[in-house]
Amino acid sequence: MMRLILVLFLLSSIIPNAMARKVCDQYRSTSTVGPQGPIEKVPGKAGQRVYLCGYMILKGAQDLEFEVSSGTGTNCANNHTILIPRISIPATGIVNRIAYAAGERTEIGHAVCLQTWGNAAASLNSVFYWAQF
Amino acid sequence: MLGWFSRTLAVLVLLAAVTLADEAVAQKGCDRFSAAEVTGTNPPIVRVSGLEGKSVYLCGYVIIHSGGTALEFELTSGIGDNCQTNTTILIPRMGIPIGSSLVNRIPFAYGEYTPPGHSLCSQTFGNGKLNTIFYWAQY
Repeated sequence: MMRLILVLFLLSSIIPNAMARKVCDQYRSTSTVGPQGPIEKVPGKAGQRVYLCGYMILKGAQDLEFEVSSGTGTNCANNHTILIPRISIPATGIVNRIAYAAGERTEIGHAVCLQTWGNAAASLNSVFYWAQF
Repeated sequence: MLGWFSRTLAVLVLLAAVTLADEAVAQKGCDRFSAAEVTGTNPPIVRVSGLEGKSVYLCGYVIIHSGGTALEFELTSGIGDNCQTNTTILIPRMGIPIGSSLVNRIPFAYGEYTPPGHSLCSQTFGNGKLNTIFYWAQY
């Protein structure tokens, strides 16, 4: 009996850790040219938030700015909320990534969208990482 | 019989202590963030307002040089208007090279933190422009 209690206790101490650390198990990469969007990058799901775990953004030779937002409807047109305000991408690019869901998150049911501004020839390569629960 | 029971109980208490300690230290997620654009020289400005009895745990930042000449920044903590009292330097004055970015981020609250009740402030020196995102926990 005591061994059973011990096993249950061990399990109960492991499970909360596993539940609390929501790993960022989703990703998507895209390449675009010229000003875009807002374009939906992560579709919203009923009853779930999108936790933005990070991104890698690299531009080509031309200057380019980006903004990450959330919202509902087509390409976040409704309930539009800015998560990362319009930022100029430096020549070295930006790599901002963590393994677990923390930081920027959407309202429940919202999608995540990306918008860029710049020269028509400006190229952008990006990878976004997220969790959704 | 009683000896076996006592040993088992001791093991359970030890496991409970380890488990609770792990929860207290490792499970505080960095659930707060804010973004701001800063141009030119600015005096200390509150980025995270202090809350009585709570520390601000700085979980990371993204600082991007996005225009003009080089701009330096400094992070401090303190109380009163814009951290003017009991000022403590968390990250000393440092420059962000033109056209580059600095990303330093973790998902859980360890690293730099303020004394309880202190706010977190940023100050800039120079003529350039920075885009910043700060991540933190406060408890």
